[in-house]
Amino acid sequence: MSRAGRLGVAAGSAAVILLAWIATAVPFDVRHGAAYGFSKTIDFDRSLAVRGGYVVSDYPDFARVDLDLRSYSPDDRYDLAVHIRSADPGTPDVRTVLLDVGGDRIPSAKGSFTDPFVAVRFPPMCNSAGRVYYVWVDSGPRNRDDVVALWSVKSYSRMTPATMVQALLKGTGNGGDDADAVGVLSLAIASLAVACALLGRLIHDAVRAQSIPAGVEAEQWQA
Amino acid sequence: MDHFDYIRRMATGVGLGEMGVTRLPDAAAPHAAYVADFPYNSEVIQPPLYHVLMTPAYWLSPGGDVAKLRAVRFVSLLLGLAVVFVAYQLARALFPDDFGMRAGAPIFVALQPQFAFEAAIVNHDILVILLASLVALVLCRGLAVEHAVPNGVLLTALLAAGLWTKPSFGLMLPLVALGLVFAGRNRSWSAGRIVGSIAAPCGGALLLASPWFVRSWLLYGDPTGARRLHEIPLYGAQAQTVPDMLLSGGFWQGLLEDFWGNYGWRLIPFDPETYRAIYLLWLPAALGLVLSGLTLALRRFRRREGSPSRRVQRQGMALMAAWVLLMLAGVVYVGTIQFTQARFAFPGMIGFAMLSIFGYRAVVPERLRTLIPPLVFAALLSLNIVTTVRFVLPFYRGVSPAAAAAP
Repeated sequence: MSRAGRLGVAAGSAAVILLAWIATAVPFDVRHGAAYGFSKTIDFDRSLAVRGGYVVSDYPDFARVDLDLRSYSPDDRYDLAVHIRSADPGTPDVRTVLLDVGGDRIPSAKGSFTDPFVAVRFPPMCNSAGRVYYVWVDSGPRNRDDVVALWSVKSYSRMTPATMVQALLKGTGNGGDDADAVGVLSLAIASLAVACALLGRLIHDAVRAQSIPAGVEAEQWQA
Repeated sequence: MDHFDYIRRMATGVGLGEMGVTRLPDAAAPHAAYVADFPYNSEVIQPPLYHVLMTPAYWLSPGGDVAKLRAVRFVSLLLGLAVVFVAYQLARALFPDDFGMRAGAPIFVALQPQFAFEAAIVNHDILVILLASLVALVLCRGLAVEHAVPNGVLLTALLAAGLWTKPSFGLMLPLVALGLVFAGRNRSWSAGRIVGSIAAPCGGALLLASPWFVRSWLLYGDPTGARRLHEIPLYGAQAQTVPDMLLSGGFWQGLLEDFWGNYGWRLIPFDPETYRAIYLLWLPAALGLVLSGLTLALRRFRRREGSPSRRVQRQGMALMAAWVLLMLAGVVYVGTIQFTQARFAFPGMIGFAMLSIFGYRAVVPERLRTLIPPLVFAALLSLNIVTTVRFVLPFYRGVSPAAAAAP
């Protein structure tokens, strides 16, 4: 086998191994399903924003919320407490995270190409699949009189792709068509296998092309 | 929703409709949030070629609406694959001995997330993309004098088919004109002959498409019906002036996010850090294009013409740039009528791909340029995997039933 061929096979094989490792061992922040990606807590029609909102954890290991916070004093620092509790009335917080953030990080008017969200991570809640949570923000003593608005909330579970796929197959998403899920999964695995083979072939062709003189088409070159 | 209903109307003999009059079936009611002008079908304002071409798939697929929907989506997939093939042929026509361009361009098209999305839905845009790509291929192949001149009959047919698919295909007419000017100059044609070569396919296509324009004029007072779109509630309210759009950072942010990842009627955006990573990886291509432009200007200043093959490549890349700019102009024009989307520029997707790979080529040392395709492949494959795992699949499986009970 030529050097290009060996490199191609090595690249394709490495891609398969890498993908398998990523699928089973590398955790991702998987965003919970919500229209437009977030739960809105601001009503633009009435110019009102409440400091809390409901999120639905589609998967286990709910471990992160992203908050679109807006403040009106860019020079101040804000001590905030982020509370997360079950949506059932009267339940205690399951997570409380203290947040120290500068006013310049959460201005009221956020420019283009900026990230309007502040990520808040906490220990995963392993039994969160299918549960509704209420997320709300409280000001600390230093900022009792300051205005801090919450415009929207995003929520995430931290899990490996393999865990997410297991959750899909168990129907802990919308409990929908599991035959569809198996079909999609099979197609995805087959596609990824083909992609790895293609990558290997591309590496082979790239290395081989380096040896072809300029002005000669690949089909005309006999190595 | 609208396009599938339009196909159903053509397949069952109900026929053409009228915007604001033709209603969607009652079965569409649960999906009203995904329809532009519910309860009306707004897509009946568009010409019917795509919908007529989809009727065999509709007829031949057994079962109910879901099965027929999947059959039509499968045809979209085939059309998308055809676009990828055309990308390879176009890159090969301009850069026959450049592996980086030949492989890089189709890879970019195939793995561009929103293009893949367009090639998996029921929408006439994928046919528009294919027809526009074929027009560009004909023009690029006609640049080199050793090849046949661009086939006037073929160009007329492609342009007419495009206009019968979507009136915005008219934006390809200036590109045809530019391509034929290049082809004529390369063959030392007279000005009269060049003008004639442009007038024939462009005029012929407009004539062939004129019945639809007349119909639109009679129904809506506008040959394309575009102004009528302004009356769609909430959509028309988002219209802006051209300066407002061009000078707005938010407009360009929305356009870029739309271009790379905004699935499902904008319901599934990526996260900001994902967009940032995309822009970071795409930036070298933009810098490379600027560098190439400066190099070309310097060469012109020094009156170094280069070989005929290089001239063909320069003209081809000029066509790519013009193609992209024309499509962006279309996006901005729609923005003056209603809210606009980057996918209206997707008929120029091969142009975007060619310019991107050409840009990367300019900033990579020559001996490493053959590695551009596998690197682009790996980067885009990673993007697709990450975004599918993090955003698309979780949303597709939807919010759990508990959400229905959320306070």
